[in-house]
Amino acid sequence: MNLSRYAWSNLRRRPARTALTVSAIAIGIAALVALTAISWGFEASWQKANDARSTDLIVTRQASENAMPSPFKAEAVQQKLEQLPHVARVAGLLSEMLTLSPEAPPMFVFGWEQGSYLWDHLKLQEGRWPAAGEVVIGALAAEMLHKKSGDRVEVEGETFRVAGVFQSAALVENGAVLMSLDQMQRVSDKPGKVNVLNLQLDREATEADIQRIKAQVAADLRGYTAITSGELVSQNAVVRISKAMSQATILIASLVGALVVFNTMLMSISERTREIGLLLALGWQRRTVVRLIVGEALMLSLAGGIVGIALGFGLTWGLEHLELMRGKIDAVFSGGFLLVVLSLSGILGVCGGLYPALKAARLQPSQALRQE
Amino acid sequence: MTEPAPILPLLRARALKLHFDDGQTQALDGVDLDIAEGEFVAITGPSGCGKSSLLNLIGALDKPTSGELYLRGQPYAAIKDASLFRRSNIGFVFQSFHLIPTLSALDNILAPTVGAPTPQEPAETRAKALMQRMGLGHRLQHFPAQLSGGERQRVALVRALINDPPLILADEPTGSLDTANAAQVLDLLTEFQRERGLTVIMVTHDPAVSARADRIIAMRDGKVVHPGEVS
Repeated sequence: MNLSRYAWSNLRRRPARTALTVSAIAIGIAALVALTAISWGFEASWQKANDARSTDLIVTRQASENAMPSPFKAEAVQQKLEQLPHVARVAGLLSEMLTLSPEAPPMFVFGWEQGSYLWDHLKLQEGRWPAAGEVVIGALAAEMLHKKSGDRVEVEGETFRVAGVFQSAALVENGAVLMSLDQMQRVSDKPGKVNVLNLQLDREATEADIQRIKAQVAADLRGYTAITSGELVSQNAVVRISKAMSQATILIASLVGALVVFNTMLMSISERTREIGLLLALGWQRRTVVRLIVGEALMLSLAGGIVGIALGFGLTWGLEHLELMRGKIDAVFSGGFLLVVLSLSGILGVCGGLYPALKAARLQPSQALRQE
Repeated sequence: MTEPAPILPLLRARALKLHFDDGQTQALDGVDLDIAEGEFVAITGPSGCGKSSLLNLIGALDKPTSGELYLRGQPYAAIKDASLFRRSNIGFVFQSFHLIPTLSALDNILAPTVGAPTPQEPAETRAKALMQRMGLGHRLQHFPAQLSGGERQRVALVRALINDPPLILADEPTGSLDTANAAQVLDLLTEFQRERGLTVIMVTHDPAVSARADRIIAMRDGKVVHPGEVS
């Protein structure tokens, strides 16, 4: 006789209760997996977009916590930045989230300085790069808008010709419409303004130089800050909210999971009082009873964890393919994270099962055997 | 010339008392008892006379309010782990079998070996051999619900024997069986007791069952009223 086989047979004794408990844990774990993967994916997607542009530093308005930093007049700031040592190139960027078609979800429209290094990482899939009065669109945006090169697209009441379709390594750019900065400033009625100024440093720039530039911007450009793309992403309000939501979900899922296991195991030992008394009478040590009950709790929670991870994958896939969310979510799963989720399931199983197990082990065998 | 050392009884009880409900109920009221190694003893008496309470104390399932119990001269008061003590020294047979419904007959038999430091393989071989002798070699993988009352009690008997204890405590072992099955279980119990030199203490109401014992101890109102004579 083997303890784990016995634990398993006890769980099979009440299949409906076992299935309900596993489902409750699985739902919590699925929400946790999906939200965390989306939150990380959101962060990674923005990070990828910044990294793909080979931007070393980004200058924004200080304390700007919007999804995209608040726009500011670029010219004077840009001139000062170009004077700084090791700054090779400075390129402005302006963006808006806009609805371009009633059939498609809102999408990003980016205005990039024409001829700047920002364009270098994009690969043209069809057509050509835009001239005045034209835009290029990402491959995913083309799919969502049902547009190809030569078609027309309306941005804030102004019609543009689609000059080409491009591919980017970053999902956020693939789902976007791209035009020159001056055109974007005009249609969005923000003349001369950008959300950020992207700085590309020369090859000689070291980490110490980056720190010096950051300090110089803080000293010379009052109200502005120079940060790395990683810092910009982690300061992003949407990233921070999604991270906070994922952390809250971890807390709630853990609490609910542990309570569900606790309740199930408490019911189970109350039904099996006489049986546990018998085992103690037959010579089981109290620690063996604890191992049995905690083992059952662990099996429940790990089953919930595994089902939850599978559900989480499904939920994320569903959200990624939801029309409204297309091009905005690029969920990130890692083996390490899934291992952490499984470990968390295990921990909440042990936590939920420990008190019932200790309670069972404290039973007096003679009294337990008398129980009907 | 030195005198031979006195032979210690397997079990000795002295002035054993057991009170419940803060002393309101006296289950045992000063029991003195000596049971020799290899003896088959029946304890009889009316309901509520303290038979089962005495069995629980001997089985280390309860602690006496006062008095002393010894097994092979070792005081029960000095037992550190009652579970380990039971596993090594005592086999239980209950009136209502107490088999675990979700486990096969074989797993029920092996239940007392779980958590034991010794490997389970020899226990499994022993269990199969004992089941063969009980005529249940073909019922190893059957669950309790698939067995008759007599078969269940025979499985319970094998479970009591699996750790090779010196003492078997049987509480009305035939109380739930018909006459034929009761006789079969008692035959097997007697057979093993004689073959292995086991000490059996059996609680029973039934004079026909107690007549199978070497000695009948009569109890009334928590006291031994007749310590019996070896037949």
